[in-house]
Order: sequence, then structure tokens, then C-alpha cells
Amino acid sequence: MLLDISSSTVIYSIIATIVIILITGLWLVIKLQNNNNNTGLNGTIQTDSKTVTEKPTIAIMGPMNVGKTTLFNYLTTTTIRPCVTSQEVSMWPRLLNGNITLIEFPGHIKLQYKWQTWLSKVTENVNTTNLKGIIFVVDSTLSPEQWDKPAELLVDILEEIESLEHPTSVLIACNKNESFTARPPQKIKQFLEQKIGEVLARRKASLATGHKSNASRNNRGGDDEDQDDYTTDSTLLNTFANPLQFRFDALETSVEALAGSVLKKNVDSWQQWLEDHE
Amino acid sequence: MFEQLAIFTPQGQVVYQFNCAGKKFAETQINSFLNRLLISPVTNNDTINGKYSILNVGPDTNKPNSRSFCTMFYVAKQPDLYFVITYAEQSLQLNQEAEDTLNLALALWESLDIPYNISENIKSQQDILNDLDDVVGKFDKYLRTKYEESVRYSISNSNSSENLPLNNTKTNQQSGNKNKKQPQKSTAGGRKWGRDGIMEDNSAYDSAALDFSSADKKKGNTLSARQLQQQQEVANVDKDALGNRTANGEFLIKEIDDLLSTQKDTHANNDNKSSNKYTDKAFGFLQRKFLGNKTIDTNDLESVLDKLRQKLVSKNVAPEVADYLTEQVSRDLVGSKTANWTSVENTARESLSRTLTKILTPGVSVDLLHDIQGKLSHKDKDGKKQPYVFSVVGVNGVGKSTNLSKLAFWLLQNKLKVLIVACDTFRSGAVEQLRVHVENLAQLTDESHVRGSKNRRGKSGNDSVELFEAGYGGSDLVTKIAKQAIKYAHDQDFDIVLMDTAGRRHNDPTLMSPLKAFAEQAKPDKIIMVGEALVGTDSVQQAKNFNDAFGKVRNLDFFIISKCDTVGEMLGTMVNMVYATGIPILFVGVGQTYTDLRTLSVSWAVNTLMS
Repeated sequence: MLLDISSSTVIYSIIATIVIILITGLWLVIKLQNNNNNTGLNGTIQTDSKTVTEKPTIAIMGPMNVGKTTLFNYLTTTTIRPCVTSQEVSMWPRLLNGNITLIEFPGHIKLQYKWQTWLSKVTENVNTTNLKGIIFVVDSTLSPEQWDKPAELLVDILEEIESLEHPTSVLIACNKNESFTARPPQKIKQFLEQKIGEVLARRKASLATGHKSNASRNNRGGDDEDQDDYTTDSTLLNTFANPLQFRFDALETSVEALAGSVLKKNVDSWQQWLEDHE
Repeated sequence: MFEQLAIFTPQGQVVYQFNCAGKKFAETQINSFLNRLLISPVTNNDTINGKYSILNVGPDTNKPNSRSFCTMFYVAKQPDLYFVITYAEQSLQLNQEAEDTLNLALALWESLDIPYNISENIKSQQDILNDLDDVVGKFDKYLRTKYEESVRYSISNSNSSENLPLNNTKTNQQSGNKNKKQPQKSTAGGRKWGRDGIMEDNSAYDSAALDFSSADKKKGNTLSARQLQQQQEVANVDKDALGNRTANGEFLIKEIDDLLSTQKDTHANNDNKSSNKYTDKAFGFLQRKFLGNKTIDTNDLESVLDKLRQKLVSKNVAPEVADYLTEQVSRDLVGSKTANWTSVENTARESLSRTLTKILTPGVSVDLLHDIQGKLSHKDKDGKKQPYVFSVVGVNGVGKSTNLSKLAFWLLQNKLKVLIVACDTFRSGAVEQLRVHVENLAQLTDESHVRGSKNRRGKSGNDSVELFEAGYGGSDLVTKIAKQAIKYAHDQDFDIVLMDTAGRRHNDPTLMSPLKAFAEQAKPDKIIMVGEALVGTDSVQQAKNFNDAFGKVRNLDFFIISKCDTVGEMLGTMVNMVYATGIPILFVGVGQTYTDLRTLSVSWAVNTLMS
């Protein structure tokens, strides 16, 4: 009996050893294989919009043609380079002594889903992500009535990040201030506040984005049911009962507007903001 | 001559730029190309020229000075790079030149190993352009030299061909051939020679030859001797004029040609090597299924794409559209590499859902209330505003009137005064149907409203919603009603005019042609097409025909997809219609009541389609 047991243990241990050796071997070979592949012309661009890192991250967002990529280039390489409309996300893992990941999203309206999915991933995994702040780049030379689109975009961003447990920061980077038509950052903040209010009021009035038929809401004329639609959807509308009274100060997120110009390499105030939010 | 050549990454980093006219490189041109590429409907003038795609970019509506141009582009993989050439217009010659230049640029790019450098930069998470200055500079030099050579080649070619009909002597043909053989040397010479007026000179020589050597009957020979001499002189002048540059140029060209040919050899070697790698195959399966980190080729994708295609078709996506979508996925993925621990199938699914999202996302911002408020805030000198006009079109029975009423209900909730116009003067009962809707809406907005009562203007409805009707009749009556209604709305201070039109079969030109006149006369601010989710494959054609019916200058503005509650997960119609026209879906109808109109949630639609 004893012999039997010991012999079976021996057999088991031998099998276990063989299995372990096999697995290790396989692993090594796979590793080798992967390395081989890596040395070829096969480097993938690992900047999928779904990459959500645990490292502290700062994101650059904003409308199209405001100088996001130029700013990204300047922050990462201190050079100004020609760039065209981005279609993909750019990433830089070593901002400010390697402590911060900088990520820049395309601004084209068709590609806004990229930052939307990314932000929703961030808000879903609140515990594992570390969003330090968002640089929202705008063109300071816009005339007052043109601020609708940036405002809409900023509303979308704020809706996502206002629900974060640890409030984050937004820098409104008022770019192109070298132009004589540029407006001062405080003015821009006011424009945005006003326009965001209007956008929110319109959002409140527009049709819900739901997709299920709801027979019980036949008479959606009533006020109480009307609000039902939004309590789950919009954090901003919950904060501001009257959306037209929207104020950045009332948000959990701290919002700051600072002027600068990437093309003139005049971004000290933004860099200071970055260092403060490291 | 083409205009600009640019090489850039999808991240927007310009790696190389070249303006042919020697002007400053204009990024805006590339930007409008990219914008066009992103928002244009996929079926529009996107002809594939072998390897390259051609895209015509119209003038930018936001910029008054912009003009249209044509682009030929190629998207390289590993690393992803866009090679774009812009030129004035599509013509046989320019297309050929663009293609040749792209070929040249790609070959040079490869042979200088730039893709490898960029990949290395990406892998080590460096700046993409790290240490590329030298090699890109070299590329620039080579490309310019080669391109100039080819231009000279074509000029000298055209010169020689011009000369041929003028001088029918054999010698000229020879010198023409000579021109071809040494293009970089003899361009100027050839031109000078031609411009010097060979005809006149020749005749002078001719007469001289005749005068001096009447005994000698071999005119041609003397001529040729003289001409050769002349040619040599010109060539000498040439050499002096061009000096070192020619020598340098020749040297460079030789260097480039050597480079290009060696590149070909190494490529051939590489191919041999990789076909000998049996280990690759052994791990291919594992990588494909579990491990990831596999470079995808067409074989890997075939079965996966077939599966995805079937799934799409089962969700009511037209086969044509499903083919296009899977082709996009394969274009997106072939040559790229799967992430670690990700199967090819999952990667393909992700790519497909990205493609779907991109198609369904509107290319312009659609904030209807903003547009409406914008228009209504403009008052004319009497202090009156122009009403905001919608018209609803579609095939019979898709729910035009129903969705129009839903839209009216929403607008009424926003305290806007709505005039509903019965422009369906064809189908019996259409006007009466609208009257019922108006009565319902009047009751919903004002509970004291008595059904069937007239308002103070003597019309059906109440103060905030009213029916404008003018009975039944032919198609000229339709435009008449429309114009009258808009005037009436203006006078009576209505905010919104909603025009219901008769349903029509999209493939019957006699029914469709009045739409153009209607749009031109009534000038609606928004033309909405209602399409039903039930329709299936025909939706592609429906959307196309309705969009084309308004002529070249007017398009549909958006779609309402009705009856979405009746199809469950089979939302393919949405994709079909947007695919065919590039026009966004704004609302979806999800039920029978006035509140069952929703803004489309793209992520919901994509998830439903992919589930």
C-alpha cells in the first residue's frame, strides 16, 4: 500500500514536472515568437481610444482646428510642427518627468465618439483610473455667436466628468491669443457660461435619446414626468434647476481659463497649470 | 503638374510635405480633404484606381475663396500613413502623373527604410518623427530630383513629338530619340532647337545646300551632318549652362535607381524567407485564437468576415452595405497586428463597431432648436419673423403624417406656434387625417379645446396649432399651397411650418420630379425623409433616389426612421440609408403615441446591431 501510494505520488509529481516544463517551454517559445515579430515592421500603434491607463492622465480635447495637435507636439517635443486634422488618438507616456500620460483626441465631429468612449470608460472605472485634468483648447478669435459649438462639446465633457467621485479640473486653453481679434480668457469664460446655459436649456427641451417605447408616458405634457427623463441622464441639469443660470463656479469640477498661443510658444501659464495638477 | 504631396499619420503629424509650385505648403487643403473623407457618403465618387483611391473635394461652403480639387491617396499600414496628392482636376494626364508620383514616393519611402524608423519610434513610445530629419531630408532630395527628371522627360517627350510633324526628315526623328534617351541633358536644348524655328533654319540650310552643292544629291546627308553639328553645339551650350547641376543630378538619379533596385531584391529575399518559416504557421492558429499579437492577413479574416457579414445581413443590412462594411474592416485590419490576448475575431468585431459608429454619427452638428431659434430671431422691418419650414417626404405608408405630428407635438411643447400644411393633395383622406392630428394636438396643448371647433381665424385647431388646407388637386396645386402657407404663417406670426407631402414611389420619375420644383419654390429649411425600419434592402435605393430628387444643389437634411419598435434588433435600415447618402438620422420613431419620437443614440444602435 505504502509503496503504491509513494509510487503514485512519484508518478503524479513526474507528470506535474513534465507539465510545468512543457508550459514553461511553450511560454518561452511564444515569448520568443512575439519578440521576433516585434523586430519586424510590425509595430502597432497602441493608441486605441479604449486604452485607459492607471497612470495619472491629462487629456487634450476641443473642437477641430484649434491647435490641439500643435499643443501636443509642443508639450511633448518643444517643437512646432505642421499638422493636419487628426483621425486618431495621440499618446505620450512621459510628460513632466514621466509622471503623467498626455492623451490627445481628434476634434472632428465624426470622431468625437473616440473621446466619448474613452471618458465613459474613465467614469466607469473610477477606482482604477486617474484623470488629473482636461485641457479644453478653444480658438480665442471666435466671434460671440460662434461659441455654440465649443459650448456643446464642453457640455458633453462636463456631463461625463461631473459624475466623477474625485472632482477633476478643466483648463480652458484660449489659444491663438497672438491674433488682434482674440478675446481675453475671462470674456471667453463668460461666453461659454452663457452658451452652455443655452445648450442645456435646449437639451432639456429636446427629445430624449432613449429608444424604448414607453406607453405610460402618453401625456408627457406634465412637468413631473418631464423631469423624470433627465434625473438619470444629465448631471448638469440636476445641478442647475434653471439651466440658464449655469455657472462654472457651481460645478464640482474646477474650471480655469488661461490665454496662450502655441504658435508663438507662449504657453507658460498652461504649463504652470499642468505642473499644479501633476 | 500636381499641387501638393503630403505624407502624414492618422494622428495628424505631417511627416513630409511638398508643394509643387514651390509655395508654402497649405495644410488647409489637406484638412478639407480629410474633412471630406470623413463626412462624405461612402458611395460618392470614390473610385479606386488599382491601389489608390481618388476623391474629388468640392469647394468649402464656409470659405468663399476655396475651390474644388482632386486628390489621390493611399493609406499605408504598419505604420499607418496617409500618402496624399492633390491636383486641380481629374484628367487622364494628371491622374497618370499623380499615380506615378505616388508610386515613386512609396518606393523611395520603402527603400529609405522610413516606415521601419517610424515603427521603431512608435514602439519605443518616442516622438514619431524622432531622428527622422536626415532620412526625410534625403527622401525629399531624391523625390524632387526624380520628379524633376520625370517632368523634363515628359516635356522633352512632348517637344519631340511636336517636332516630328514639323520636320519629317529622318535625322530629326533620330534626334528626337536622342532626346528621349538623355532627357535631363537635352530638355533645354531640345526646346531651343525647336523654338529656333527649325522650319525656317532648315529652309535656309536647304537653299544653301542646294546653292553650294548642286552636284551633291544626298541632301539629307549633308542636312543631317549639319544638324548633328548644330545639335552638338546646343548640347555643349546646355552643359555649360547647366554646369555641375547636371552632373550632380545624374549622379543622384543613378544613386536613387540603385537604391530602388536593391530594395526590390531585398523584398524578394524577404518573401522567400518568410515563406520558409514553418514555425509561423504553427503559432498562427494559437495567435489567431488566443494569444493575439498576430499580424492579420486576408486568410485570417476570411471566415471571420463571412460570419460578421451574415450577422449584418440577418440584421436587415443590405448585402451591398454589408459587403462594404466588411471590406472596410478588412482594409482597416489587414497588415495590422492584434493586441495581446485578443483573437482576430474580437479585433474584427471591434473594428466593425468602430466603422458602424463612424457611419451613423452625424457629420454636422444637429441641434434643431438652435437652428430654429437662430432663424426666428431675425425679424424683418415690420417686426415679423420668417417661419422655420420643414417638409416631410417619403414612400407611401412609412408614417410621414404620424411622424410629422410627433414632431409638431415636440415643437408645441417648446412653446412654438405650429402651422401644419396639407400638401398631400392626392390621396383621399390625407387632409382629413391631418385634421384629426391637429385636433388631438390642440387638445393636448389646451385641455379646454373642443374638438371640431374653429379657432379665431376660422381654421381647424387652436391658437398654437392650426391646419392649412386647400383641398385636393394636381401637383401644381402643391407648390401653390406651400407658398401660400408660408406667406400665411409669416402674416399670422407662426414659428414653424410643417408640410406633409404625398407619398410616392421612389423609382417612378413622374412622381419624383415634382419634388424638385417643390423644394425650389417652397425653400424648406429642412427636408426630412421618413423611412421605415421594416423596409430592408430597398432602403438603399429609396434614400438615394429621394436624395437625388431635389437636384444638385439641395439634399435631404435628415432622416426619421419610423417603426423601430416593430423590428427588434433588425436595425439594418438605419445603416443602409446613411450609407447610401451620408445624411444623418436625427430621430427614431419608437411607438404609436405622440411622445414616441426619440433622438437616435448611436451607441445603442451599434450595440444592437453587433449583439
